[in-house]
Amino acid sequence: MKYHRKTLLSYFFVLFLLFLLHSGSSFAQSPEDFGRTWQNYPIIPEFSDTAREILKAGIEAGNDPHAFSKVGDCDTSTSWYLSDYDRDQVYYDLGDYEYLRPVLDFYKGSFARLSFTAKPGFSAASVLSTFWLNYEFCQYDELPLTCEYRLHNPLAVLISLGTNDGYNPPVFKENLRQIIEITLSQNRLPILMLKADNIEMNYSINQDIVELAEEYDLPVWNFWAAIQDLDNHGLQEDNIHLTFFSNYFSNPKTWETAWAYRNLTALQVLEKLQIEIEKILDEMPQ
Amino acid sequence: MKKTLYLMLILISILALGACSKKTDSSEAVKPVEEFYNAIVTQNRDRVSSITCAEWEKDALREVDAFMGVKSELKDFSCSVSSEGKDESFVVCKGSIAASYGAEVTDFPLENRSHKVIKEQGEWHICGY
Repeated sequence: MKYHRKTLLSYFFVLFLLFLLHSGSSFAQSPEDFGRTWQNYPIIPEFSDTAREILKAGIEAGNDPHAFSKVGDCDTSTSWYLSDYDRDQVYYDLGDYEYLRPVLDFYKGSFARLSFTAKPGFSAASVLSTFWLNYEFCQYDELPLTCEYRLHNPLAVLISLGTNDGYNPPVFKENLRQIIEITLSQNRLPILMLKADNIEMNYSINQDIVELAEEYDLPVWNFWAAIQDLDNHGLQEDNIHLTFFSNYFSNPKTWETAWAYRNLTALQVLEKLQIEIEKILDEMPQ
Repeated sequence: MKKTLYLMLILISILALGACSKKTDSSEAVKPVEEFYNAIVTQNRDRVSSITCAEWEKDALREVDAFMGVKSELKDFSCSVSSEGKDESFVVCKGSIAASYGAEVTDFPLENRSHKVIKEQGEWHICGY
């Protein structure tokens, strides 16, 4: 009897532990549980006066208002990300978002361009590392970031980093800061994307991104918010990569996967940017 | 005759020891460079501060972090002293870092880098390339 009671108690103790573990993992899914503040940022940012000043200074410095650069990891280097919009229209349709077509014309050439700052496995440190420099095109005293900027001369930069920094989150913020500093020093506007995954388990990386965005008064593209209603929040089973279908916006199935939202919201961010750039260009003496 | 032979043996021994100690010194200069690349492929950031000079530590850590998102290994790797000084030497390496992400493998040849190593408090430290 004593033995049975002991066994029963051990059994309930194990059950209790399992419950704690399970509740911990399921309740700890939300950024609020970690005191995060970024989740309610709008998906498409408004551009601040600071952002406009950077754009104006960039145009005056000779940066190309029709060029943007992509900085990121495998989800940025892939041809699924924006590339179709520089290709023939058999590869995509805009469906209800046909109003975005002028955006495709405005930035023509930047969508499919292979960026020197976007590669599978890239952390924030990678774009600042001489190891990842493409010596075929870049100079020995450059970094991937400065090489990309010299060769493409973008006025704005879509920065989508952080997933691979989940392996060592504490170093992310300073490396992103360095990227921002270099970008601003060349009068180019960094637009910071909030990532979809939570590989670091406590949503700290998106928090780092918004803290830097607030510090430098930069636009934040809250892609995370755009896909929260999708199955598994738009992530594949590995909880890292985005779910994919196609870029045919007229196909309802497209909207069940995250990549459609990534490309749509990117185009909407670029549209906002275009409006600001055109205003500045209109106001500038010819 | 015997005395001369003994003297010659002693002389040869001294020369041999001198040569050995010099060789040891050279291989010591190579060590921080080898350890730096091992720190990259094993992602051992903790090792970096003890093998780099203070002014290059931040850059070294960034280079280690640059490989955070990939699996990497050293291939046909070896280093040697190319120019040797009392407190400053240069080390060159052969081989490469093979970094893989899924099926994609990127090779980073190490041949073109001349690594500066300096002696601080009796220890060699890597101080850039």
